[in-house]
Amino acid sequence: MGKVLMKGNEVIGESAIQAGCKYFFGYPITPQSELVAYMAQRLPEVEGLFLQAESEVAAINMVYGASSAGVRVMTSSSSPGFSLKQEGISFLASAELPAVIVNIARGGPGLGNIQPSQSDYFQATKGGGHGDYNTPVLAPSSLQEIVELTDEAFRIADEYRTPVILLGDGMLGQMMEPVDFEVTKDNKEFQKDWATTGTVGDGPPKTITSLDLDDVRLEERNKQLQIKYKKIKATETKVECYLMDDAEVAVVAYGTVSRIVRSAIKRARDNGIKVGLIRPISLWPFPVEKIAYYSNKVKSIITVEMNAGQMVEDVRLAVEGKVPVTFYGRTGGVIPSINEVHEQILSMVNEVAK
Amino acid sequence: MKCYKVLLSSFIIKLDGKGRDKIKRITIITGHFGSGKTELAIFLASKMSFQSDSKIALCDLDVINPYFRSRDYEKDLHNNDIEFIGPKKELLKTDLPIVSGKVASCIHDTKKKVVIDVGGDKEGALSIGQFSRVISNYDYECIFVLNANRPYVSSLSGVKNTIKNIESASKVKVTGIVNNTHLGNTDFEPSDLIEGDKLAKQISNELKLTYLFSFVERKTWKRWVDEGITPELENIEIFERKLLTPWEEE
Repeated sequence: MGKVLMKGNEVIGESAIQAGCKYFFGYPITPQSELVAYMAQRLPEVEGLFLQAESEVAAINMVYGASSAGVRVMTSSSSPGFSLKQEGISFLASAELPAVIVNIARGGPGLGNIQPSQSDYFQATKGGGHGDYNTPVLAPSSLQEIVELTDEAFRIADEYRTPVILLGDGMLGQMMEPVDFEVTKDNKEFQKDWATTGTVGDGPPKTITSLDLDDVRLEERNKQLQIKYKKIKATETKVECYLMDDAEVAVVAYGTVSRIVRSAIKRARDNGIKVGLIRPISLWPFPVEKIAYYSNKVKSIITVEMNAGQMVEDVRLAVEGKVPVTFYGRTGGVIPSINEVHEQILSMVNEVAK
Repeated sequence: MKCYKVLLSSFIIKLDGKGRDKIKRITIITGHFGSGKTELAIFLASKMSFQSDSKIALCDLDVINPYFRSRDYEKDLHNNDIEFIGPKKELLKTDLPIVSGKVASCIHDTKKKVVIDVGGDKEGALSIGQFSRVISNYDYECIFVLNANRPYVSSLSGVKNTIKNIESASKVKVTGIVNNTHLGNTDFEPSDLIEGDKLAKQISNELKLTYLFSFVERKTWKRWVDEGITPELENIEIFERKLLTPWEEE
C-alpha cells in the first residue's frame, strides 16, 4: 500500500479496522466527524457494522453490548459528547469489558467551540465517570503514531479487559500527514471465554454486569480492579524523551502541543540552551518514574498544555518539590505558538540563572 | 532527460488578441476532501489578482471542513487585493453550513473574476448546486484537484466515481484537472507526483478534461532541484504553502 496522505480522524478509523475492529457505534460531532463518516464508508467494505446511534449515551451502551459478545468495538466523540459517555465508560470498567473510546477534544467547558484543546485531561485520566476506576489513556502526537497507538489501545483493552481512551485534540483529528499502515502490529489472539455468546449446556450461563448488591462482594470486585490497575501501571507506561541527555531544563508536553514545544526547543538549542522534552504517551498510567528521574538532573521544569493547568499537577506529584515546576497554557481552543513557548523556555532559563 | 517546463503562469497569463487576460470569469475548485483545494484556490486567486485588471473575489463555500479553510487566510487575501466572500465575522469559526448571500451577487457581477473554494466530495459540492444554472451562463472552469495519495482517489475508477458524484451533486460539469499528488511533507519523491501525472492524463483523456498543471510546493521543488532531480512533466506550478500546522516555521 505504501504511504498515503490522510486526515487524523481517518487514520484512527483505518487503524481500528486494521486492528480487527468490525463494529463502530457513534454520533457525529465536530471536530471528529470524519471518523464517523470514514467508518460508515469503510466498515461495510470489510463486512463490519457501522451504526449511527441516536445519541452518545446510546452509542456507548451499544459498545457495552457488542463488547459483551466478545468483538472488538469502538466509539468516538469530542468533549461534550465524551462527557455524555462517562456513565457507560464507568459501567464498562466495572464489568471489565474491553473497548476503545476516542476523544478528539475541543474547547470547553460546556459547548465551548470547535477549536483544539487539552482541557479534558483530568476527565480522561482520573476516571471521568463515577466510582473507583481508571482507564488507560493513550495520546498520539502524529498521524503515524495514531496507527501504532490505536493498535495498542485494542491490545491493552483485550489484555486487561478494560476500556481504553485514545485522546487527541481537534488539530490531530483535522490535520493531514503521510502514514504507513504496513508497520509491525500486535497480532496477539485473545480467547474471550467470558463473552456472553451463549452456552450449549456446557456450563452455567455467563453473566456480565456492573451491579453487585452485596457490599463485601463489590469490595472484592474493587480490589480486583485495583490489582489490575497496579499491573497496568507497572507494564503499560509509555513516554518519549527528546534531547534530555544533557538537558539542564525540561519541558513536559503531550499530543500536538509537544510538537510545538519540539520546534521551540530546536530554536532554543540553536541558541545554546540545553533544554529537552519529556512527552508522556500514556497519560494514564502517567510516566511518574521517568519524570522523577529527570527531576534529579534538571534545574527546572515547565509544563505546556492547551488548558488552564491539568497535567502539571501530575508532573508536580512526580517531581515531589525537588525542582520548580511552572506552567504555561492557552485555553478556549487557542493554540500556543512556537514563539510563546520559546519565550517561556527563555524565562525559565533566566529564573534558573538568578 | 526530457525537458521540464516550470510555468510561472501557465494557467493564467494567456492574453487574447487585444491584450486582455483569458482568465475564465468563474473558477470552481472541487475534489476529494483533503486534496488541496483551499491551497489551490488561494494560489489561483493571488495569481489572478497580480495578472488581471479585473477585481478578483474568492468565495469560501467550504461547508465540510472545520479547520484549514480559506476564511483563516482572509488577511492574506485582502493584502493581495482579493475580495473575500465567506460567513460573517462572528460566524467564521463555526461549522455551520453557511453560504453567504454575497456569493450570488458576486457570480452575477461581470466586472469580477470569481474563484469558488468548494468543500470536499459530493457533500461539499452540493453547496454549488444552487448556482449551477447561473454559472452555466458564464464562461467557467471547474477544476478537479487530484491527490492520488488520498484514499478513494488513487485509482482511475475511484477518481471517475468521485467526479461523477461531484458533478451530480453540483450540477456543474468538471472541465479541468490539476495534479496535486503529494504526501503533505517535503520528503516525498517525484515518483509520487509522476504517478499522479499518469492518472491525471488518463482521466483527462477519458473524461475530456483539460489537464492544467501539476502543483508543487516550493520547499519540495527546491529540494528536488538541489538533488538534481527534474521530474519529467509538462506543466508545473510552484506554490508557497499557506496552510501550515502550528509547529511549522514559515
